[in-house]
Amino acid sequence: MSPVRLVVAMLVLVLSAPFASAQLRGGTAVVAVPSDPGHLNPAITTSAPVQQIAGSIFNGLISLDETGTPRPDLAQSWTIAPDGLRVTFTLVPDARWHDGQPVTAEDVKFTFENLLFRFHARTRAGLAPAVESIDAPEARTVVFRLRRPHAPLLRQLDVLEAPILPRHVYAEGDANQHPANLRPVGSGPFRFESYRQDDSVVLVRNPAYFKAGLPHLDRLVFRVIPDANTQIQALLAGEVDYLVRVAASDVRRLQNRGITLVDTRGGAGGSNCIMTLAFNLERPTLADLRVRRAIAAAMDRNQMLDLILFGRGRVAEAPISSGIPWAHLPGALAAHPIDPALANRLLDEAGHPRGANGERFSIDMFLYATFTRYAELMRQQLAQVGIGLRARFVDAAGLGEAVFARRYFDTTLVSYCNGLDPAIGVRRMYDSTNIGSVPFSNAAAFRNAEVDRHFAAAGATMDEAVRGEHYRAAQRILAAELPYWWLVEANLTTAWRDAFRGFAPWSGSFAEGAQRLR
Amino acid sequence: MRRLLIRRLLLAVPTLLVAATIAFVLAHLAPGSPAVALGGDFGAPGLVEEIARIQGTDRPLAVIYVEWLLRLARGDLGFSFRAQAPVTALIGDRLGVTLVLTLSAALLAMLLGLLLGAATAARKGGRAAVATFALVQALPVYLVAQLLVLVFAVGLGLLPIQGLENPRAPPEGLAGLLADRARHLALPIAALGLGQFGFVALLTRARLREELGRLYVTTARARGAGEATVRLRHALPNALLPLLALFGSRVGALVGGALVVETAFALPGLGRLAVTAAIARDQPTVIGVVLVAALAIVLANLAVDLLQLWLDPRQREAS
Repeated sequence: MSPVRLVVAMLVLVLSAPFASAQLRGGTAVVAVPSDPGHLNPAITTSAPVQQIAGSIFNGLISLDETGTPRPDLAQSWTIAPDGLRVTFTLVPDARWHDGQPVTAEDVKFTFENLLFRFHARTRAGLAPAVESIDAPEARTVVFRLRRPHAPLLRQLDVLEAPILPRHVYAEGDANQHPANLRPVGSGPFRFESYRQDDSVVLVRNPAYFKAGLPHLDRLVFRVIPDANTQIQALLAGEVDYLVRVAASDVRRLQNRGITLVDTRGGAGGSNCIMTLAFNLERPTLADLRVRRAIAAAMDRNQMLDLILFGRGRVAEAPISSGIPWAHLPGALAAHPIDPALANRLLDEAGHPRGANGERFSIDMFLYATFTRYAELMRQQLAQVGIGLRARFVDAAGLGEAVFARRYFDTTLVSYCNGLDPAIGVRRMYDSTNIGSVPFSNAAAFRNAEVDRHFAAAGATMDEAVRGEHYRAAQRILAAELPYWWLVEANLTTAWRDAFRGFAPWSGSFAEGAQRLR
Repeated sequence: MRRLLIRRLLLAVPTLLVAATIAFVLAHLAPGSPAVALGGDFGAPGLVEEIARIQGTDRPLAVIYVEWLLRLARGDLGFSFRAQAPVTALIGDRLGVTLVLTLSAALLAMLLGLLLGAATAARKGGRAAVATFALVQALPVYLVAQLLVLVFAVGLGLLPIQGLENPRAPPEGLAGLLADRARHLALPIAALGLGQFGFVALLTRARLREELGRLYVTTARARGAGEATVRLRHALPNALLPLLALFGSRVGALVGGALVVETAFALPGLGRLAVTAAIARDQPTVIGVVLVAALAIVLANLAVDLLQLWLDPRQREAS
C-alpha cells in the first residue's frame, strides 16, 4: 500500500469512527419482567422485581463484574486499613442525581444509616452488625469504621445490596410510604420517566451520566408479563427484546431463533443458588440420621439435572456452591452415592418396615408450584425405597408461615441462594441462632456449636485462605450430618434478541453498556 | 318501580357488607402477613416486627376490622401496603381496562350467542352445533387465549401477543390511540367472550325451540310470516326473558375469566391487581377488589331485574 493510500485509509477510518459509534447509540430495549415491582425504592427491600428495575436507576459504591470482583461505581477507589477495621472510599468527582444535585458522602452516610440498615433485609442482617459508624469527613470521602474485620464488605456494596439514594429527597418523611418510592431520583445510567402498575416502567437515558459515553440506549422499558409462555412468544415475535429469566425447559424453544442465550450464576434476585431439600430435624423420623442418609441415597440427582434443568447446571458437590471456589469443598458429598439398596437397609435398621402396600412411612414436602417437576421426580425416586412423598404447594407467604414461622412441615424444597460470599447467603441456613420466623433462615433447625464457631470465625477475618479453611471444615461436618440434602446448582438463563449486545445479566445494572445494533 | 329500585339498593348494602366481611376474614386467614412479604427473605432480627408496627398489622384483628369498617363507611378502602397508595386510587387506575374487557366480551358473547343460537334452532339436526357450543363453553379460558394467540398473533401475525400498547411506538392522537387499543384488546376480548358465548348460544337455542313449538308461532306461520320474522320478531323476545336473568348470574364467571385473560395477555386490570395483592398479602387491596366485584354483580343483577320488569308486562303488573 502506498503511503498516500495509507493516509487516506487512515483518514477514512478516523473520520468514520464517530459515525460508527453513532450507529450504536440510541434505540429502545423492552425488557420482560415476571412480576410488578410495587414501588421502586431498592434500599427498603430485597424483592427481585424492584432490584431488577431499580438497578438501572441507582448506583452502588462499587459494582461487581462477572467473576464477582469489585469494580469502581460511585466510589472510584478505596483503601482498607491493615487491621481491616477502617475502609475509606473516594467518590467520583462528577456524579450527579437526576435532578442535578451532586452525589456526596452525606448521601452515602444517610442511605446506610436511615434506609439500608433499617429496611434492606440482607444489608441489615449481614452488614449493619459489623459496622461501628459511617463518617463523611469530606464531600467525596466516606469512611466505614468496623467493629471487627468484615470480609464480605465489598461484595455487599453493589447496587443490589446497597444502592445509594439522595438524602435531599428522602430526608423528610416515612421511607416506607415516601412519594419518591414511586418516582425515584437516582444517579444511574437511566432516569425514571413513568410507572404504570402491572404494566410497565419506562426509563430514559441519563445524558449527564458520570460514566462517559454510557449508556448507549435511549430508552429502557420494563414490561410486566406474568405468564412465562407469553414472555417466550413475545420475545420470538420481537415485542420484547430481553427476558430476565428463562426456564431450562423453555430454552430449546429459543435456540436458533435469533436469540442470544447466556447462562450465569446470578444477578438481581440471587446468585449461586442450590436447589435444596431441608429436613425438619424437630420431627422424630427425620431427626434420625439413618433416614436422612437413606433419602439422600435414594435420590438420583443426575436425573434432576438431565430432566429438569436439561443439563444447564451441575449436581451439587458440596453444601457451598461451586460458584464460590475459595470456599467450596469439591467432592464433599461423594460419600453419599446413589444406592437404593443402602437406602432400604438404612430404613430397615431405623425401624421403618414396609407396610402392606410397600410403603414404610410418608412425609410432606412444602414447595413453590414452579418446582413441580422436582416433586414428581422425587416422589418416584423415594417410592422405590418405600417412602411416600406428599407435595404441598404454597406461595412465598405460605412457605414463610408453614415452614419458618410455625415449623409445621417434614421437608421443604427451597432454592437457597448462596450469594457471592458464604457470610451473606450460606451462614443463615446453618447458624443455630437463626431459627425462626424469617423466611429462608435455618429451615432444618440445625444446631451444631462447631459449625456455628466456624461460620463466626470465617466472617470475622479478612484472610480468604483462613476463611476458606473454616468454610471447608464446616462443610465436612454438614456433609456428615445432612441437615439438608443439596440437589443441583441451577444456571440462570437470560435471553435477548440478537439485535442487541453488551447486556450484563450478572449485574444489577445490566443495561448500562448495552447497545442496539440495528 | 322507583320503590322497588330503592328497596333493592337498600338491600344491596347488607349484601355488600357481608361480602366485604367474608373477604376481610379470608384475606386475614391466609398464612403469612404483609410485613413478612415486604421484609424480604434474609435474617434480620426485628425487621418484620418493625414493619408490622409501621403498618399497624401487629394489632388485634378486631381492632383492624372496626377501623376498616369506620373507614369503609366514609368510602375509604384503606391504604395498600404493597403499592404504597390508596386502594381507591389503585382500583380507579385499573377499572377502565377491566370494564372495557368485560363489557365488550359480554356484548360479543351475547350477540354471537343469540345469532348462532337462533340460526341453529331449526327443528331438525343441529347436534353438531350443540356439540360445538358445548365444547367452546367447556374450554378453559386460558386455553382459548393461547389458541387465539397461536393462530392470530404467532401464526398470521395480525395482532399483538400481549400488552395494552406498543412501548416502542406509543400511538399519536386520539384516533391512533383508539386503533392501537383496539388492536391490543381484540384477542383478550375474543378469548373472554368466547368463554361465555357457548352458554348463550346453547340457552338461546333451547329456549327458542321451546317457543317455536307454541301455538302463537303456528299462528304466525299460518298468517304467512317468513321464518326469519317468526324467529326474530315473535319467538326470540319471548325466549329472551329467562335468558336475561341467567346472564345476570354469569357476571361472576365473567369477572373470574377477566382475571385469567389479564394474566395471559399481561394487561393491567383489576384481576391482576387482585392476584399481585393476594401474593403480597396486601389485605386492603384484596378486600377492595372483592368489594368492587361484589358491587358489579349486585348492580348487574339489579339492572337485569329492572330490564325484565320493563320488558315483561306481567311482572310489571305484579309489582
